[in-house]
Amino acid sequence: MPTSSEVPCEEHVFEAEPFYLPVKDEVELFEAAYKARLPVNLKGPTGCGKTRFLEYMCWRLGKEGGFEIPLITVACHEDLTAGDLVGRYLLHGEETVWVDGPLAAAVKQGAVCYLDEVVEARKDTMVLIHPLADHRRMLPLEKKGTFIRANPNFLLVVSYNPGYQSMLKDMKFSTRQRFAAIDFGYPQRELETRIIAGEAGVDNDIAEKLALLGERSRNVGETALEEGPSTRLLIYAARLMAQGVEPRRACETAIVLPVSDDPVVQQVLRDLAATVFPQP
Amino acid sequence: MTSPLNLAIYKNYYDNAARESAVTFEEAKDCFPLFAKGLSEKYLHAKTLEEAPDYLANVFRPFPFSNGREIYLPAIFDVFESRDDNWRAYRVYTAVQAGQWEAGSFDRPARALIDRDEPLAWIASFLGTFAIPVLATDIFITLENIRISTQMARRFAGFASDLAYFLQRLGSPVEPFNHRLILWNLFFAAMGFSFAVPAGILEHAVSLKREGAGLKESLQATGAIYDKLEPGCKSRFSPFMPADMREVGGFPRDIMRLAGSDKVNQRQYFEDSLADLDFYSYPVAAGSGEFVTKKILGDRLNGNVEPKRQAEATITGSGGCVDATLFSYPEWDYLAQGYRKGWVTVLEYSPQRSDPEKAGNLLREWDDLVREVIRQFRMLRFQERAWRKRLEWGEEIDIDQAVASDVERRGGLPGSDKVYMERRRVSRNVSALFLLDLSASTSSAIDEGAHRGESVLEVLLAGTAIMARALGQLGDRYGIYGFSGYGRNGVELLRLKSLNENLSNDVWGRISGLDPMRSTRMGAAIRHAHHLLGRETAPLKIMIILSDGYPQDFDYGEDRADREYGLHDTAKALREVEADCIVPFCLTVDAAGNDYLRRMCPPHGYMVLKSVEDLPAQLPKVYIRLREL
Repeated sequence: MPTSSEVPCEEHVFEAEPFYLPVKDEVELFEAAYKARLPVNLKGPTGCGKTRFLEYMCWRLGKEGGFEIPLITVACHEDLTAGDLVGRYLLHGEETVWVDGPLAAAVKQGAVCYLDEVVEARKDTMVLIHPLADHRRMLPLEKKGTFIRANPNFLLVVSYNPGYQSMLKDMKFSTRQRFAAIDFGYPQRELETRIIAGEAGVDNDIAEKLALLGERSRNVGETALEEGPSTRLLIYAARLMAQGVEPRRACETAIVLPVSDDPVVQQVLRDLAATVFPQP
Repeated sequence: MTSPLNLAIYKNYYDNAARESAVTFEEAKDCFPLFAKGLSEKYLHAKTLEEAPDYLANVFRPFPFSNGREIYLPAIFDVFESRDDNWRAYRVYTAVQAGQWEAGSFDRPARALIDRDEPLAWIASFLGTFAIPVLATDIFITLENIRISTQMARRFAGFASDLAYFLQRLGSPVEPFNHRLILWNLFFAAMGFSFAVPAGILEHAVSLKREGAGLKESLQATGAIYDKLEPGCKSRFSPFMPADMREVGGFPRDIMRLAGSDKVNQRQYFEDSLADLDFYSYPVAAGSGEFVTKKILGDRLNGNVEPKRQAEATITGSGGCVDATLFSYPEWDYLAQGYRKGWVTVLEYSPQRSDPEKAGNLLREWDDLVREVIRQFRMLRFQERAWRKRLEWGEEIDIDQAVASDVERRGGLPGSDKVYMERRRVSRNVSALFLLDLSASTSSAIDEGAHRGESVLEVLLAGTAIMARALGQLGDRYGIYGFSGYGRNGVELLRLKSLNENLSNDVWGRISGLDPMRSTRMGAAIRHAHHLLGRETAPLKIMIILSDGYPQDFDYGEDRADREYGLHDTAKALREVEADCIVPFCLTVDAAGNDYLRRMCPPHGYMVLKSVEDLPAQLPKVYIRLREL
């Protein structure tokens, strides 16, 4: 019977190679940044492979270095406080004990700490990472009156989606300018075809059609669609098809409905799917 | 004659008694331009077949031919039994026309001496060199239909099945008594149907179906087929051709003037034909100049110098205006893809006051709503200032609760775990500006509901007045401005309440004294509101635009009916606002607002109200939502 397992965040390591196909020179750039211990900002639309890329890099760098590099991910949100990242005092029985937050744990252990969608976090919280993201590489623990010097293997990585964020949630310049940035976009059709086929286990014809649909749906553009279907959604559609769902129906479920609530835009996506996939 | 199905599509046989399965142009016109953009990356405006020039769409062709900016669709598709199939036919029509961009129908030689922004200009020049340009045009479009349909079907499997379904029902051989009917048969023969065509032309058409066939091959095939068909057409052209085929609209009419010349002087052709073409501002460099009308273009071509425009600010404003200041703003010309610098003059002034007591009348029928909105805003303010205590998890230990809990436990009671506190939302510093459309159309009366007989403007003002009353509870800084005007040198911004002003009797007097004015040059008004909000220091700045229709002015585009220029300029102004960390939001009472607001405003940056009466209740909700960003 299948079982689940609970793993502490700081033990999240990759033993098997995560599936990732490079789009440009992002692998080499990230390796160079890691060796120089430069914090990295991954910019790109949702579902284009930022997280997978980071998983792959943790695996790859760990393999090259002969040691495991855990990946600690924090999904940022507007109520994320400094305590959530760094740690806090908790009442434990008769005592008050300090509990490290994920960032402090990563700094101590030499993990890669990934702050996903960093602009969602409050700006005052983000200022906390400044000493970690420059030459000091240290994390002040204000409430303890101490600071942690980062483990040499520690790396801070943030991600955000420039298209999706409103200007109100843009990164502060003082934060932005502490990171080397790698730009991600959706892959070209040929590469996206290989990714879909590799991830979903569908044949090349279906993967090619889905990549074509993705490309054309993204053409609909910002006037109608906040964001076109991501590679992730195309993979979902492919997986549904692999389970025997009729292609247009799979596109409806995995692409049309998730991408937009606007009936006109939904119909446009439906028509594009019908143009790519023949009627059964 | 052509096939019965095509005749039905063009002549709307069923338009008087459309069945439930029918799909109308009104239903399709929002979707298919976006669908075309998906296929071709170009937004192509939807027009009906009736609006298309004859040389681009006529009943003798299986598909219309796009001019590169528009797609032509039937006013109604009621030819198939199911609604899905009728919708499918619209999809095929759009895909074939959008496919022209995909297949390179508008390609042109790199050094073509033709205006680069007119997609069909170079093709027109080529076809104009034939002795019978109408014949050459018809051949070319038929061949392009073959080439494009094949290429699209090769690339899109779904389109291939849609096309096959449609053509099987559309195709029936016709008696080839003129060249257009020969070409009808040629199209279907090339697409694999057993239709008879004159010897020596089918192979040229079929050659365009091979992979890699481009515009050049299509033009070569046009020449080859033309040479075969021309001798037969020369004898039959005049007596048998219907009038509308001899005198077709648009460029072939100009080309017709050249019919019979063996040698065409290209330069002469362009000079003759440009003046009649529907050219629009393309020769004007971005950021300067003005619209090039046919007359001005004609004068230029004839060497006449047009009088220099006097940029005069002739505004006097409504009677009794005070504190008037003139501002100059650029305007976005989407066709030239650049700004017209200093193009619009905006006059900001405080309008004449009316009796402030009249303001009471504005809100008389909205008492309950006023109370409710004030209550909501008061609560909001209270919430924003509160720390959240007694939490099971939080940023800080709540010492009072921790001590109390410890005391309880020492006393043998189960102590509470709620010993943390968290500061979530603190009070916010907000500046807001309300921009009211005061155009003439706001004078129209509401024809249903509890406020029947009141004008749209009265309800707009009531909504604004409710907000003015309630905003005092939140302590936000806010301003209220109205806008209207006439012409690019006559945009008026009426200062009803500036951002620095308190809600005084003067303000109520200005609000209650407003009357509908003239046009809606929205881009300039937004840029001025942007300027006003730009001076604010609040971290959150909100601009709410209340309108009753699309941007419009007599010189806001090529003509008064041109919506595109105004939409693009307003959209650009809204993007400028967003880029400056100001949150814009458009609230319209125009039921057709979805059509253009989707294109004009940021996603989630607009709302269309079904009823004007909803505005006073919706406006506070919108404001609260924006404030929480």
